[in-house]
Amino acid sequence: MELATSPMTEKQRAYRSTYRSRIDGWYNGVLHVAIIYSIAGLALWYYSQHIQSVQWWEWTIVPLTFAACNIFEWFLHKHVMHRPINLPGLRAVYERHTLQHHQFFTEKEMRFADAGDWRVTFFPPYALVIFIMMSAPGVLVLSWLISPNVGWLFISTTTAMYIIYEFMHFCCHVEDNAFVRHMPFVNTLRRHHTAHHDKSIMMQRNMNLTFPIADWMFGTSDLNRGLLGHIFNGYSEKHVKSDMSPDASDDVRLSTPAE
Amino acid sequence: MPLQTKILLSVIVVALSGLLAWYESLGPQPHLIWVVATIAMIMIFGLWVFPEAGGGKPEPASDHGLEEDPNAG
Repeated sequence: MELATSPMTEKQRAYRSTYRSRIDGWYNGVLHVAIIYSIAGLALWYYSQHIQSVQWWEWTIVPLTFAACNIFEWFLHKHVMHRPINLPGLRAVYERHTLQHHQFFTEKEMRFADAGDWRVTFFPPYALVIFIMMSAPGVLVLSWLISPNVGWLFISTTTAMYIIYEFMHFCCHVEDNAFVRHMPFVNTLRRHHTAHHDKSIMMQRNMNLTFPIADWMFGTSDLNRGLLGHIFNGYSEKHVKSDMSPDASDDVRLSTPAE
Repeated sequence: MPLQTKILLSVIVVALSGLLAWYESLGPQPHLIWVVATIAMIMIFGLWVFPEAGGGKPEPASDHGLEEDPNAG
């Protein structure tokens, strides 16, 4: 099934049709999402059972982990998902993202036709399994070095960031509606990510898929605004940079730019 | 995902959940063993049952505003 009316090119339409034909017939997008959110939801509940009497200073691990996840997401997107690295696992991530996801969705047509198309946006369930496994040593180390609460809060934040990533990315590819248009953060990311799907800038710009903090920090955003302006930009295109040549993306911004 | 990777990941999930279940059996909340087992089962289900999508033959990278990086990797 394809969208009845769409400005997509024939090339994009043909690719979407080919991609769908390669998905197993029994694929169910709702089941896909249910598996991911069941694992994450149960895991978050399990972590919470080990957190008790948190001291104020133990909460500081949450914003620190949030910031690290934001940079990790930016790094993974820019240097793995958009860069062909000749290691089997990483190459597969590049192909799935740059060569499949970016052909399926372009700046002309960003929408799913139905739940069967969710396969091209949500990561396979094993990605969450790997992500939780990657966080597990952090729990042990932080519990031993600082306190068990810090360890469990750390993995709670990484798992929460993963499902926020999936939710925000999903919201970028749904039909426009009142929720995604008016919800802070979501509306910002929809514009941010739609711009990223423009092939002329997709290798350099708008690499965050939750909150465009690292894009602002490393100067890879298509906006010329401060941090708060970036986060609460919404659908506005008032501050879009006029010069977005590849060279212009090499600037590294660590201080607040002019609003 | 290659078969060997699936097997390795499954073994890690089973080993880690076994360790966590043992840890929980020693603590004050032994009912959490069932939560650990449920998470592990859903993970294994997701790993083995969920279909991969081929997505068709990718177009050459140069069609996407990208030059293949000969130094990559």
